[in-house]
Amino acid sequence: MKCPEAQREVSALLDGEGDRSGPLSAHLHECEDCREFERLSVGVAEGYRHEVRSGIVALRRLERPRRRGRPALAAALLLLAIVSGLSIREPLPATTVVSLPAEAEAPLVSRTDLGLPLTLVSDAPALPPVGLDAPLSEWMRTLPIRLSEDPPAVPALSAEESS
Amino acid sequence: MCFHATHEKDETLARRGCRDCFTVLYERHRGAMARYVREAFLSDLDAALEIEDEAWKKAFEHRGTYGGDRPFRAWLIAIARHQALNSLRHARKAPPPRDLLRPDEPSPLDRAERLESREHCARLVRSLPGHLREPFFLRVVLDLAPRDIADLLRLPVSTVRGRLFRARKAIAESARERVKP
Repeated sequence: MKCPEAQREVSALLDGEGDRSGPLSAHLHECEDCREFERLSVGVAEGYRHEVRSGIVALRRLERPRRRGRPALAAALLLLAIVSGLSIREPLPATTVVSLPAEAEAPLVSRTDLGLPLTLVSDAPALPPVGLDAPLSEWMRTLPIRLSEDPPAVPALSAEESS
Repeated sequence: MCFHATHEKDETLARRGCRDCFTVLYERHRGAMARYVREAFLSDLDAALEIEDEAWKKAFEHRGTYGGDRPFRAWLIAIARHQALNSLRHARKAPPPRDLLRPDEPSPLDRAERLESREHCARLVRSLPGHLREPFFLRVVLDLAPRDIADLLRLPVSTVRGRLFRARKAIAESARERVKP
């Protein structure tokens, strides 16, 4: 058996075909070049497989890279939503229930000052008043539960904050 | 949740076709298509991930066409390949990403160790021409048999065997050249 034929048979063996027949086995026993061909074929394949498969594992952990323009667009939409007060609000606290406890009182004097409806919903307990200097997240808690109600006006910045 | 989903073979889950089963298949194989696209076409990661996303959608839409006559992995890769060829055909040919083809650096390892190092192995494979690199990837990384590769690449099996042999030959010759003093 000559080297080209032997190396083709080695390649076929690596593909799960053929068998390590007598002539091939005898040739490999005598031929250093063909033994090296087999060793390199196996070794490089193994190294490459490990490299690529570890890359697949790393890919699965990878946070998807954003497409160009998406972060800016997302930020713009978020800002628009916050300003309009339409869709962004923090989850209501657990005390927000459907039925009105007997002792709950409706009027919210400070909320009237902000132009808010007297009650958010008729069956919700009163929320603590929020001042004009409250942080945005706190103000967002006062947003109406029902989208049919008008959102409050955005609190104006104090002189300190605007400078 | 489909009761059998986590214990079944890929082919069984794919033939069952329910959403839960497909979710299991997704968890098992996600990342593989992107990596295939990167290796076979030397594309950048962003493009490869987008192609994988599209391929998963197509696979789910057309899950009814999978008949189980070939490995599920091969069917999935065929979809990714089709997507990749469509996308990359129209894209401007870009140079290979730098992180895939690292420049030669002086290595402190001795020659035998350097030869076997994973990065060096990957570099040897990535230097192959595309028509040899792709079947080599499918065989070595995804464990597809030559007849499945032939089916996927629409080539005769003998051609696939020949390309795998030529890939190994080229790799061995490149590796020997690097080891020679």
